Amino acid sequence: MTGWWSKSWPVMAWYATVAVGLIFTIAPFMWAVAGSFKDNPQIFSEVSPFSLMAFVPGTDPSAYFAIFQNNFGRAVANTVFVSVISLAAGIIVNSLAGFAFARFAFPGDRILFAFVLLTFAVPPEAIAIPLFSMMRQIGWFDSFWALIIPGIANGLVIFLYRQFFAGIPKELIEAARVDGLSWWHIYWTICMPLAKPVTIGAGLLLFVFQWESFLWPLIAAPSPELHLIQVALARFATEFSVIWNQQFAASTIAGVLPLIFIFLFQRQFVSALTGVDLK
Amino acid sequence: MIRKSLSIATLAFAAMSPAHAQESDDLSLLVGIWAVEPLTPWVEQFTEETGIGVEIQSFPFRDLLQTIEVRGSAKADDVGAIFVDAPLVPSYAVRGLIQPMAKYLEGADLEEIWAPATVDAGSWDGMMWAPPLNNSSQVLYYNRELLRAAEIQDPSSEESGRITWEELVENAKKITDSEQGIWGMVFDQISRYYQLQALPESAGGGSGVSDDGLSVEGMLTNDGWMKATQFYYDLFNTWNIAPKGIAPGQTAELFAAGKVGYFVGGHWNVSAFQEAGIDFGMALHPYFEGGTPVTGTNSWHIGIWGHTNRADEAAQLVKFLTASPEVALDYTEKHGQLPAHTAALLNIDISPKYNNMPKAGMKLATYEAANSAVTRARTPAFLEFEEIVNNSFEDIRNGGDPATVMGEAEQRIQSAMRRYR
Repeated sequence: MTGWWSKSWPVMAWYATVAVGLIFTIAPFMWAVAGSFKDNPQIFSEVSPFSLMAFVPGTDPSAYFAIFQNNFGRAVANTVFVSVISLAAGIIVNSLAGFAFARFAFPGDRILFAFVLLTFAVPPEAIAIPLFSMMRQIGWFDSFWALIIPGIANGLVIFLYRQFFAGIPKELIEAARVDGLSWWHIYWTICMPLAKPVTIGAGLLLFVFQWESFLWPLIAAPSPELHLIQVALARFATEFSVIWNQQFAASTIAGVLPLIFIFLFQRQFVSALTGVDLK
Repeated sequence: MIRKSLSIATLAFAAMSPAHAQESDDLSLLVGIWAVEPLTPWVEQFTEETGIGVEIQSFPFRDLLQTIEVRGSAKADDVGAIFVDAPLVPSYAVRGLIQPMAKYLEGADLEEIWAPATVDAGSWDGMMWAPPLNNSSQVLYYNRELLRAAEIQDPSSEESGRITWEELVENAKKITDSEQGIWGMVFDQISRYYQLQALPESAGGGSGVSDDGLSVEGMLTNDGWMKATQFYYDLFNTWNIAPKGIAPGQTAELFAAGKVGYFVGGHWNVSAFQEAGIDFGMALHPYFEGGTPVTGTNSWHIGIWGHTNRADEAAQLVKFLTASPEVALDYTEKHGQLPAHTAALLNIDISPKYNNMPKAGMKLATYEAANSAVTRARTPAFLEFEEIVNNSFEDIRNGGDPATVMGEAEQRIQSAMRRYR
């Protein structure tokens, strides 16, 4: 018995730590899901004093009906549209850029790549004002173009593709060239199929980036018919208060779709970011 | 494959890209989302009368301020008029985000149109910049059931019986039952200057900013502010009669759930408390014994956008929405906010509709607005001032030493004000 314990306690301690971490991570989401089926006073009466009933869903689905009467469905559709287009266009643009950085030597390529890496460090808020001015000048303000185009090029995704393409053996590429394949064919028929895990990880990054973006959609597309999901979420607050159950209902919906994608492609996503298991 | 994907994307763009936004000649009006419903019919009437099209763009409170900052920095000229939070009038005026309304109101007796305090709030540097759309006031709500259980008398709604903070604290101690999650008192706008300014003002500490709006030296650490911030500290850390870890917007829900004895809050909560079915009453706002009764006030104003080249048309819109008695009466009725227009204030005074709850609460709020309201600090650095003061109140609520916290706040604000001197 003592032997079992002495061998197992580190594992048990690790599980206990993970379980505690999991509770702290999941509890707010569970509270929001449960609260989305309750009225507002009930939500707060169960946390003062704290009761485990706060995590038990109520039986009133009216908040879900109410949010869809407030244009939330349109915001969900818009966000799916913007995220999917950004994902598709982003994979093509960023993988081509990564391929170019990995396979071609040209004057200033290192400096240019350093600039791409620098874009990681620039928060979107920092470029919001010049980008806003640019969108107005080219006539894209308050349109889907303003929502999609700035989100396509992504420094992290270019970096991921570049690292992957640089790791493909030169001999393979040279053999393809000797066989008469164009660079486009090498990129499309040899490199991209090999880069499937990176593509899945990059796709998730691009999708989640658009799904979660708030400030830019808020200022670039103020028309209600262009609202994205995070902008719509903020609108469940009135002048002095928040309609908590509706905000919880909308947050639940906003959280579920990316979660599904992440659960489905979790392994590839982690591999793409850590570089493990790609080769 | 790529060609097919691109075709689908192109079709999708063609179907969903709106072309209207860039082609519209409408004057944009940036408002809070709460104002869309009550203002839309009047904006439509304005268009009918003047032929000037107006597009309403609405945002939640914080996002509206952020949008104004971004569009101002980009010098966007596609906005006509904007909602202006009253204490930001000096800041927007100094930074060119709004244009003066004075020349469009020449000859008018402003204090005949709007309540004097709201005229002050919309003015800066001796002229009107943004006329008021509505006003706000603070009152004291109490849970009759909890007060009865603790054998405490209802607070008075008469000036002679106005409750003091000292009395309220003693009563709140009797009401608080931490095991049951019952709290003695809570503020509506917890840790926000808008509401808590009343504490140092009542203790004789002033607004926290010098008369010229450009200094806070010695203003946040004077005796009045120290008394007020120590009181705020004690509520949460010594007497433990008010809850920590709860944000503005959640406190009203706590009162509505029957968990709070006294709720110091805005008059706008009446309908929500009635809907929640709680047995509550309303009284005059508390004050410090030996001090003066003071309440928070001001609300939304409308100003001409600083970068618009259609200022004359925007001014017509601003005048129509703020100075018409019909709009003021209707906005008060639909939005339930305290009016700034004298015609609507008079209506509250004489109309029998305001004798019964929930509208009766408006009479109490009108009384406070007329007798105890003080405008928030007048400074072009209000955004910086408010953020630092709000954070300081929150630090004190979480156990920070009031003298240290306010001393640091004073230094930071003083430094932030340099750019405006």
